[in-house]
Parts: sequence; structure tokens; C-alpha cells
Amino acid sequence: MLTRPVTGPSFDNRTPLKLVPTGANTRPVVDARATGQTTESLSANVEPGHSGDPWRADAIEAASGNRAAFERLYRAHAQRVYSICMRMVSDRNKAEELTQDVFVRVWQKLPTFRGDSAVSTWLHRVTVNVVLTQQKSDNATKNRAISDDEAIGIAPARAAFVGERLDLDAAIATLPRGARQIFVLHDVEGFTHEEIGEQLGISPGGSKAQLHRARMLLRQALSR
Amino acid sequence: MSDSASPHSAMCAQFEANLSNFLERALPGLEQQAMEAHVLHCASCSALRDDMHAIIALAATLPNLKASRDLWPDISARIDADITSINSARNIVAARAPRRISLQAFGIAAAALVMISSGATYAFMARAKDAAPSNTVANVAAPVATVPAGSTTVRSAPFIAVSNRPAESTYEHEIVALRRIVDERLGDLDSTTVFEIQRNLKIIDKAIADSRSALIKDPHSRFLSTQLNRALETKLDVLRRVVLL
Repeated sequence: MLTRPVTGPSFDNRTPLKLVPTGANTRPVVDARATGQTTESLSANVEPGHSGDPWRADAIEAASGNRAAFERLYRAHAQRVYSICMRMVSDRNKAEELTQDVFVRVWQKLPTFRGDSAVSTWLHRVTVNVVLTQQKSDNATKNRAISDDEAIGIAPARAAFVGERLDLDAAIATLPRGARQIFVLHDVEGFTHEEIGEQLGISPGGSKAQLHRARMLLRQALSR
Repeated sequence: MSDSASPHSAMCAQFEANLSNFLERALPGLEQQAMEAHVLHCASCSALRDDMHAIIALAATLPNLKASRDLWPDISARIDADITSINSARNIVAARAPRRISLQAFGIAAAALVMISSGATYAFMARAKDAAPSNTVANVAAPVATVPAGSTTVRSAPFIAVSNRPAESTYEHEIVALRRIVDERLGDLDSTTVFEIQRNLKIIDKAIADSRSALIKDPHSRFLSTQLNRALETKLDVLRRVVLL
């Protein structure tokens, strides 16, 4: 991913693209995504284990039933988990339910966590799995499968963000579900097309195509 | 934009079609160079590239969102409910002497599952073969009727991604919980009993995996869904029996 200043380029004779950060406190970019570390989590750190993962010790404690350790994991990761859920489903109530589901699942699965990735990375993967599982379950209940093309054409979820100008989060919320999921997973959360394809049951090529469509739709939405 | 038939607009169309690969520098060398040369001289494609860069950069810096309330109390309550149900089962099996148990019932259940699962897989494979003659599926054998008694050669069940049906999630929650107790319980039983239990659980897991495989390929099949439920119920039944030994 190239690093370029977030400016407002102009094209044709239309007004420049206006991109507004959705909050005053932007989270750290690469480091946070890779390691899950935030200022909040570092301030609540226990002494890191030998692997250097700041959450390994708490994960080990929580796996043996230490509720306080698990709450520390929750406090440090809840916002990120909720953000993933919210951006993928664009429904606040559902996102909060899914966030709870994620942490209950994490509590159940912690004893089986082998530590071959950072705790934060593993937790985020669990989050994506929980969201996708729930959505597939919803589809099964409605007794229809969602093909790649159909996912692109699904009516967009109602935007859950309110603002005078359409910021990126609000624009993401207007995307068709399939395109929204892939944009969030790839551009926001950093998953590869292969990983996305594996989780969504589509080809990496299909993932790329939907990402391209998502980006083009966002460009349209943000240029209004 | 230029006339749709002009080389310039054709390049613009090609640029847009290959935009994702261009941004990731994943195009073949000459093609990447051609796109870069084009974008230098095309205002609209240059703007498109810049807009994409901006969107990608901003997406990477989106801040975390906050839920409307603290979800910890609800999460903690759900975990408590989970622990209470497991501890109730633990209390029942708190003090038991090691003993050998007749495991005929486990063997019968496992053998029945193999028949059910094989039948489900056979039905699916036969239907798939009829529907798509060009498939490589061919010469599907009829299901095996029984598991040889005393057999010790049980293949490990292949890992199959978890199905996404709500009922299955419920089963799995209880299976995970019971499995923890069973793993502890096995320490109280003699080695022959443990061997038989584990052997039969492997057979059941294989049946579950087969059913899941078939269901992934034919997710709308009520028959396959029912078979998978039965397999999971059988596993639960076996685990409950072991817990109560």
C-alpha cells in the first residue's frame, strides 16, 4: 500500500474529492493492525511473555479461567472488535451482539489457542469468522445462497453514521454487503485476497473484483 | 473523455479495469510500465489513481468505533452461564473409581453413524454425478454396511470448516464443553476403556466430517442437514454417556 498524503485531488471539472477522517483520534496504522497494540493496551500491559506479544500472559491466564485477565483482553480489544463488526454489518445493535459473541467465543477457544500468532491477530480472525458465520446463517435462514454477483447487487444497508458530509465510514455503510465486507477486510483490516477468499468462499479473483467495485462506488459516493 | 473508439479511451478503459493490480504493482512488467506511462499523460486516469490512493490510505487510518455501552457485563454473564452448566456436570462425576465399562453401545452408535454418513455422501455424490456429467466424480461405491468389530485402524477425521447453521453452533458449544470434561474423565478410566472411547469418537468425527463435506457442496439439502444433525446428536450422546460413567 502506497503512502500518500490524504489530499483532495481533482478530476475532470468536478470538485475535489473530500476525505475527512472520521474521528479526532486516528488509530495507529501498520503497527496497530499488525500487533494490536494501542496506547490504551500498552498502558494496561502485563509483562510480556518470551514471545514479545504483550497479551500473551493475559491470554494464558484467561485460558486457565482468570476472569480479570480476560477482562483486560476485552478492554484492550473491544473497540477494534466492535469496529470490525460494525463496519461489516452496518447495524449498531447487531454489531454489539456480534461483539459479545466474539468474546464469548474467544473465552471458549482460548484453551485451544496455540500462540502461533499474536493474540490480537488471532482475536481479529475470530471476529471475522463470527461475523461471516452469522451472516451465512442469516442467509441460510432466508434459504438462499449469495453468489458473488448477487452480493454486489444487494441493496445497501442503511447508513448508521450521521454527518453533514459523507465521510468514509458513512460511505462504506452504503456499499452493497459483499463489496462492503471485502473492502473492510482488505483495505481497513489488511487481509489478503487469498485469506478473504478462504473465509468468504470465493476466489481471490472474485475478491479483487469486488474490492475494485467497492473502491469505485466509494469514489462516487465521496465525490458528491 | 475522448471518443470511445480512440486508443486513448481504450487505454483508459484498460487502466480502470486493471486498476487494482496496477496499484498493487501486480501487473506484468511491460503492462505496468504502459499503465504508468498512460497515467502521466491522462488527467482523468491520474485523478482516478490519486483518488484510489486517498481512499486506501484513509481506510487504513480509520479510527476504532465505540459501542453505545459497555458490553462487558453481558459478556461476563454469558460466560457465567456457560461455566455453571459445565460445573453441574463436573459435580456428578467428581469421585469415581477407575473401572471398565461395556462399550457395546458406543460401538453400535458409531457403526450406525458410518452408515448414515456414507448413505448421505453416496446420495450426494450420485446426485452430483447425474447433474454434472463432466465432473470427475465417478465410480462411487455403495456405502459400507458395518464397521469391522475390533478394528483398530481408524483414519483421523479430516478437518472440515465448521458449517454455519445455528443449530450446529449450539451442538458445537455443548460438544466443546463436554469434551473438556471427557478429557479429564478419561484419566479416571482404564486404558482399554479409554482406547475404545477414543476409537469410537474418531469414527463419529469422521462421519461428521463426511456429512459436512457433503453439506458444503449441497448446502440446501435438508436430507444432508438432518444427517449432520443426527451425527452431532450421536456425538453428544456418546460424550454425555462418558461424562456420566
